[in-house]
Amino acid sequence: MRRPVLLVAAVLLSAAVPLARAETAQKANLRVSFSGKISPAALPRLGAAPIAVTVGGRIATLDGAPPPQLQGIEIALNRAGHIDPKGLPSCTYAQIQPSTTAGAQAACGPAKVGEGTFAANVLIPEQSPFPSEGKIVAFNGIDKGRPVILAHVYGTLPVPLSYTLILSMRAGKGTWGTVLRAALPAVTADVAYVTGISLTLNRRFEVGGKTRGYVSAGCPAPEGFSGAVFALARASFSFRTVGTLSSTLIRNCRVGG
Amino acid sequence: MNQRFAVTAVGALAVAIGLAVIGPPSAQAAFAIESFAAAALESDATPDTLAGTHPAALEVHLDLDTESGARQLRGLTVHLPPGFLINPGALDECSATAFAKPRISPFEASASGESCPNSTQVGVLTVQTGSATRSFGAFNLAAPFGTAAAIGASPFGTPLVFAVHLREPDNLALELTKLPQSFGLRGLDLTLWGTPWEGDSRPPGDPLHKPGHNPLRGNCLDEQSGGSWGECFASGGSAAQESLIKTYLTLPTSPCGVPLTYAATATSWQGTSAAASAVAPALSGCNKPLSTPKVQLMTDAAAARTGLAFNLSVNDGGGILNPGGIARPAIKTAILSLPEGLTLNPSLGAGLGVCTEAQLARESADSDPGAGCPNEAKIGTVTLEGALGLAEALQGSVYLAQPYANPSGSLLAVYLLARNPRRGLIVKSQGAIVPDPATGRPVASFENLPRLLYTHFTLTLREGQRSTLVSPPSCGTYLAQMRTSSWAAPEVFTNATSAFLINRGDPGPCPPPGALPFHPGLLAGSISPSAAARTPFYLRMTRTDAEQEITSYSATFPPGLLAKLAGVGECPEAAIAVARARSGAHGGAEELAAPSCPASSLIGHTEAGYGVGGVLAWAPGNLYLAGPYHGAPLSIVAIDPATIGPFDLGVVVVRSAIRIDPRSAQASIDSAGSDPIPHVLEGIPLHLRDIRVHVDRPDFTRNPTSCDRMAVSSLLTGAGADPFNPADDSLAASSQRFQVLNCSLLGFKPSLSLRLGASRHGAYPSLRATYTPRAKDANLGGVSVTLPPTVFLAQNHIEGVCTRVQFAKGACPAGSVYGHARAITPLLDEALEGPVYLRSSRTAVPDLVAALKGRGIEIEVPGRIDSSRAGMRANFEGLPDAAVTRFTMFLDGGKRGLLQNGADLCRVKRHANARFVAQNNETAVGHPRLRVKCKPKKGKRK
Repeated sequence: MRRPVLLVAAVLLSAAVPLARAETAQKANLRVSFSGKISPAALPRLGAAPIAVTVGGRIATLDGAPPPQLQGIEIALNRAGHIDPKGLPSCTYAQIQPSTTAGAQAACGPAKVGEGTFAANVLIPEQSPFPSEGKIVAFNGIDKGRPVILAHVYGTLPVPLSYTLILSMRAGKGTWGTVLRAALPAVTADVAYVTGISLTLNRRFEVGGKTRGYVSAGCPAPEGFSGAVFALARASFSFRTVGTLSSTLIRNCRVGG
Repeated sequence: MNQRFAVTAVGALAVAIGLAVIGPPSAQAAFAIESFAAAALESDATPDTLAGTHPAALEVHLDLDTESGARQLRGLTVHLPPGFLINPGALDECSATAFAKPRISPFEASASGESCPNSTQVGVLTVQTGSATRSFGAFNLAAPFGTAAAIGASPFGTPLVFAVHLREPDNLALELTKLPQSFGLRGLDLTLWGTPWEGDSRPPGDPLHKPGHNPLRGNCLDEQSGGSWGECFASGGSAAQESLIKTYLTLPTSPCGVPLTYAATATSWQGTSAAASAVAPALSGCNKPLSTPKVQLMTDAAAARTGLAFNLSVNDGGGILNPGGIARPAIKTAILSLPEGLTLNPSLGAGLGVCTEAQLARESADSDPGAGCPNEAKIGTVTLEGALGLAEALQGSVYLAQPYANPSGSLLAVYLLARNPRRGLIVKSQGAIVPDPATGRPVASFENLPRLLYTHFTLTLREGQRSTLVSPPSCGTYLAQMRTSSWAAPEVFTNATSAFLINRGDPGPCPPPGALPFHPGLLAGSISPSAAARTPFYLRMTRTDAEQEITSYSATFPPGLLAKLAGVGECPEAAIAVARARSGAHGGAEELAAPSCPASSLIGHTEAGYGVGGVLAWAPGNLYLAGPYHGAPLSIVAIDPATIGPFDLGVVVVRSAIRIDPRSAQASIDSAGSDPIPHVLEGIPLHLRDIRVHVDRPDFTRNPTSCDRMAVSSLLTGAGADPFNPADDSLAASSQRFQVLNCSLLGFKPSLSLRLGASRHGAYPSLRATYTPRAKDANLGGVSVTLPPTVFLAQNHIEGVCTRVQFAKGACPAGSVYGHARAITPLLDEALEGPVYLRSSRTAVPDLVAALKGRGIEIEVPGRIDSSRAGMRANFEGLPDAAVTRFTMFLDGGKRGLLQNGADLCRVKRHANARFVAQNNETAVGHPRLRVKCKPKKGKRK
């Protein structure tokens, strides 16, 4: 993992941008509302403190038709923050897929790094799409020797279903320090289409008597400023036939802590 | 020959115009008729040739060969031409006492041995015996039993009696028998007067005086010369009133243009015989208008059983006995077309017998009742009045002739038989009744009706419970059409009509116009009302007389009322074809003697009640199981020998497709897949009123194990206003409640085992689910099985799903098959088995459907998939109420596996939850363990 890099943002923008909002991207009939937040809002100007970061999106069409299949998710985090799984136990895909949430936590509970929710329409051939919601539990995982986030999805309606998304991590460029990417396998895309997803990474753990966060960040406010407005993340959803819709989530922070 | 004979009128005729024919000498010279002459004469001694008139006299002359020994004559018969009538009823009869008492005459020493009253004299008999020739009065004697008439004289105290008999076919014969050998008769002249009482009482000098037969009557006959002593009146001291004077003789009414032939046969005491004939001039004036028959129904009610009366008054104006009248010929052929709507009543067949030709032949004028046609064959009466001028009628019956084995060769034929035993008179005739195949309109044809002249002819066909006919179904005026021809002109037909009026219902007012109502009744049920009982099942459909005919039916039986087909054969198609081919005259009898279908396929029997009124004619039949028909896997064949009483109408085959609802296994018969019920056979509307079906093969039908209220429903087709026109058929639904009892007495303890083919986490295991009930338990109505949460639906393995449309067509793609299932049932010899599909549903998840098939029967067992308490649940609801011994469903594993283990099953609890609901609403809960193969724990290896 690359070291996190602080992001400097325009002070003038800080007054103009709301503290929390959803950014919308639209392409043709498809609309995605991205959302995200960071907690706590007060962060050190220098260094980094454990944070909880939430990124989500809701997918819809203007005319109410089923949205196209989601093929990939990419979340680029500002270089002011970073993901550091060191010291955390890790888990493998096979340990939790398939399983209930309880089963996954029983198998990989120490590697849990966050949780969230999902909404999807389950697709079964010759059947009407069935709306399903469930819980996402994110685990620090290892896939092919590289650290990943295993996002375990579990729902009981219409029948017990279990999916696990593998979010790979790589270093970003420029503003973006870390990029999380999940490619939804075709078979997954055929059995459901996602209409909403939200994931919060918030794991704190102790290493050597020191509390650390799975995600840590600082507030990139210039000297003399008590806060800053910065690009928290850029979320991109790739759809079959439509292409990619992206949005940059602009949020602010205060210097403190 | 004595000269006396040479001057008789007939003798003169024979010489003058050659009308009399002298018979050929007998081949045996020892006994021969030398001459024979006979003729009917006018009062002026010329031949009377006008048909149907009354001649002044009939003269018969006979000479025997004197050289060959006339002393040998023993018997003599004179045959009159056919249709020549002697009417003994025209005057009084001489009693046997008077005939035996010698005559005492004031004019001479009478040699006559009789003292008959003048009112009984019908002529003069002149006999030649040895050298003596003498004339004697001939009298109308009291006829002995079995004799139509008797004409007697007593020359020299020797009674000579000519017994008059009606001989076949219809000629009168004057038969003189047992002439004493000592009498020595050599020749005779017999003069019969046409009007015996002719002669008034005016004095001889009166210019209006008509002596008639007075000069030769009684004591006034000069026996010695054949002349007269004076005038003697017919009635004691005075002449008969003119109104009482009747004719004793009537000429035939036909044929014209053909010489009349008289014949004589003589027999000797030595056993030899001689014959001769004489020919008289042909008749003329045969063509006379026919009387019009009248036909009347015996009811004025619609759709009611009825008889029929056929009345014909031919010579009621005095044609036979009135001296001034002319007899009209009898009807030879009558064709009676009854009006449309009037049909034959099959009830007639109930208990009806038949008369064979041999039995008819045994009928004689004096045969005892039952010696010929049996009383059971009687369907009507026949009366002939006025024959031979007699007061007593010929009475008799209409008998049903043996179908097909009768002179007309028809199904429906009758014999008319009327007789007067005392007079030895009998007439026989026959007719055929042929229904129009298109309209059912009966057409009765009678050929060779009695030629014997009568005044009134009455034929009635039976009414009452087993009436012959059924009146038209609606009110109105109906016309019967008649075509008649006479013996005088058989080829010339006269047309006439006779009207019937139907003006009320039976009972109640007239039925509304148009189609009759149609509200058929349905009665159905099991003999035993107990749940799960092995019991016969019956079904009965009825209609009233005032309703439409039943032409087809459908029936839906209660769910769970099933048949055990195991061990039951199917009637082969070829055998059914044989039954259908038995449509001929004796087909029914052949079917009864040798049923077409094998006994192994017999599942019950049927009874069909035909007719109108309180008594129906019943035709039994058999019910067989048969193979596929009209797309249905099974069928039943009702094979009914249509033997309604004595009528063998062949075999009625009604085959009905049995459809099995694939969801409920409910059996039904739909009219589209079934043969129509014949309601017209041989043109006879069957008036099928009562259909009874008994499915009574032992251990065949079984009651449901559900005590829910159910129904046997039926949709029947009525024949509409016109039974012969299917276009106006109508439908009526009937329903009969069906509910069995004692369901609570049935046990319910089901057993379910579940075995998974793999235990590893993430594996796609196969699943084998086996349901095993106890025998005699209530059948399973539904079951839901919830797998533990650690078993997931492998959604990514769902590659193919069969749509409902594809499933209905039996065209599910191979990719939609995920396993197979097998059900063993005691109801079938073979297992029901087939693939397990994922089939699209109206819920979120496709249904898991086992498509079972066996013996052509298709059953689908759908399971709805959902979740319960985080576990995947399969719900099988509304299962057929059918007994199974074992049901196994196997779901594939591996790449086709629908399940995926969410944990290592060897390390977690793995109990499923099962909830069973029986057909009798009993419930049971089970927690079957998912059996998997696990490696033994290390500590337990030892």
